[in-house]
Amino acid sequence: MTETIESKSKALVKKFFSMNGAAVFVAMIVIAVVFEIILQITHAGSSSGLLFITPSNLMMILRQQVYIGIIAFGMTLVMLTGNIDLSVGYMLTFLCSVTAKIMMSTNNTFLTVLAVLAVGLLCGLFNGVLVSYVRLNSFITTLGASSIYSAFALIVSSGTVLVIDSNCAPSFRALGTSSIGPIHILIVWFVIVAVVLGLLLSKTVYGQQLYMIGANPVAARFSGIRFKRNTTIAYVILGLCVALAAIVMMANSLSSNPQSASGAEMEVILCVVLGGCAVSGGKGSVWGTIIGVLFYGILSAGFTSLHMSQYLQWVVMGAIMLFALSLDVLQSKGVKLWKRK
Amino acid sequence: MKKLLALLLALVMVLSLAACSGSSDTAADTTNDTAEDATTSEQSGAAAAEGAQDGCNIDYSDVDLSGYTIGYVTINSSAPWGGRVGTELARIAEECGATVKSLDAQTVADDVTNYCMQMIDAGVDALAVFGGDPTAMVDVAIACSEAGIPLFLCALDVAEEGREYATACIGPDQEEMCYQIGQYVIEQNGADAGLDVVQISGVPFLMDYQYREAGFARAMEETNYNLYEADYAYSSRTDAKTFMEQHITADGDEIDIVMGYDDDLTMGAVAAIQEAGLGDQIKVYSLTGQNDAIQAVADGQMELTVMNRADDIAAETCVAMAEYLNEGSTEYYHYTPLTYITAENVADYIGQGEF
Repeated sequence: MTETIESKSKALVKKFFSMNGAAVFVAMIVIAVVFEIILQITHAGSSSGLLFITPSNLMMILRQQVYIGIIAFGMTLVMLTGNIDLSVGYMLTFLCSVTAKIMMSTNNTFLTVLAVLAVGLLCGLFNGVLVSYVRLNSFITTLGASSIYSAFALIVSSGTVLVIDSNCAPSFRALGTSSIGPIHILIVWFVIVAVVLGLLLSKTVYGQQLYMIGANPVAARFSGIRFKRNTTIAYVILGLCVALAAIVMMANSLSSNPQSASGAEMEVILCVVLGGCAVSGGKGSVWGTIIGVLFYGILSAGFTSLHMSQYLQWVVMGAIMLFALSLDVLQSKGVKLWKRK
Repeated sequence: MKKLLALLLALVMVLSLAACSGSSDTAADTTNDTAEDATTSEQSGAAAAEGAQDGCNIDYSDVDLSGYTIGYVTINSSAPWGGRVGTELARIAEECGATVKSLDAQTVADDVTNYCMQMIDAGVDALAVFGGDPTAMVDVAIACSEAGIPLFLCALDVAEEGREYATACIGPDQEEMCYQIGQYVIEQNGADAGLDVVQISGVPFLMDYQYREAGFARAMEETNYNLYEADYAYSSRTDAKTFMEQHITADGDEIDIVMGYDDDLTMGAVAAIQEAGLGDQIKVYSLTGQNDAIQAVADGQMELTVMNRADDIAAETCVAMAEYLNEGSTEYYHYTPLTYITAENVADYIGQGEF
């Protein structure tokens, strides 16, 4: 009887750790506890309760990661096909400028949302067609595209900060600042995109085909999978995700700076890779990306709480990304980092 | 496949044209090659008058630039504040008798250098530049010096190695401005109040922000305040808001002051403070005089912002040019006055910001 329970629990643990991002999930909890302990020590006597692992703080961390998270979900689809999109940072900047410009000139929420989603779709289509149909390398293509989007952002905004009037249409502001019960609208967007893309990947033929394309593109082609079309659609979905992120970001902050450049692409890729998505494609999940996004958010919030120099934060984040990428490459080559005795 | 590609290209072209149409008011067409042709636009008095402002702090009534041709190169004439500097410079210089030729790099930094070289080749009597890259401007300063053309830098100085070749730098003293803000903070709160200060800055490697942080830090040396490490939000208000939220979570009860080095970013911090309901506890100080920040001062959400007027820079540039061209020398630094906007005088400045 005891042996059965033991073997069942072992199987459960084994199953848990076979999931994408499981190790990062455990690491995330450990790090959150470490931050809590350090903060308790540094704030000794000033507070009787928890300081870092509080529901309000965790909700705030999630809320702060919504923009990156939404884009990361789209990026997961693209990376599953073995490709990448380095243009998402400047695409976000460009789409934020478009959102601000249209909203400032029309004050029409419906028109703004529609136009920005259409432009996002076009940006995704542009990248997707070049990568899948023209067969350009995705790294180089999207690097070039990022330059185009950067220029578009400068043109649209005339190189200046665009500030939407705080008295703009309430329906627009509601997209980024309202709440549904106790849940902030940004978290609702995050959950909606996660659920939709999660179901798309796990429950549809298209989702399964993306895994096939990434895992073995030659076999996928011979199996009759329309890899060009499917890859293009993945880029289009990513474009739509960036557009949605731009809309909710503008609705929340009301300010777009065309020179922000942002470097958001690195944060997005870091989150996706941390979530267990293979850079070579064929492996990954939306669940894993959620873990990656939360892990990144907890690290970022924890470092700031400890007043760590931002330069040092960048070093740590860069090191984590390189470590995660190295681990991924080594695993794909079949190298075992530890052996059971 | 071909149909799809054709459709895609057509759509991209439509998008490009639509986006470009937004900047049709620019003064010059950057596709042309020389300063003599249509790219050089002599600004009409009527157009210039539209940018005229009341309340310029510089007296230029005695300035005489008659017979001189002034070359003016800007990084971007469409930007509200930068554009106004150009418009005001053209208006004031023409009022003083000069002819002004302008070129607009439309945000392309390399073109600022190229257009300066074109102006030098065209043999202008003096060259004024707004927003050139400090390092790239070294070559322009050397070329001006060799050609015997005085170079006047508006708002942003050339890198140190180019200063012996440039004639004058006109604009606010960024370090002194933030030192003065620091003094205002001390005046309001006392030097020995032991306050905790969050700093929200912009781009760590840009000279503007470095000067600003240095000025504020110099003022804080006279206090026992606890200055947090500066957070660099680059140009993202969203990131600034995130930093502030994180500080509020960690030290909400302890934070007394936020020093923002750019109104656009500071407004992100203000949003976080207001959402957390800490408006009464945390005092916010900032600079650049952006409209929504001025409104925040009026609403009691900020203590101070600092505006530097575009027409002051334009007028002081004309004063420096006239001094040099008519008398043979002028001081290198011409610091323009700053307008400190607080609850006392904010009513006079609502809607008068750069953007």
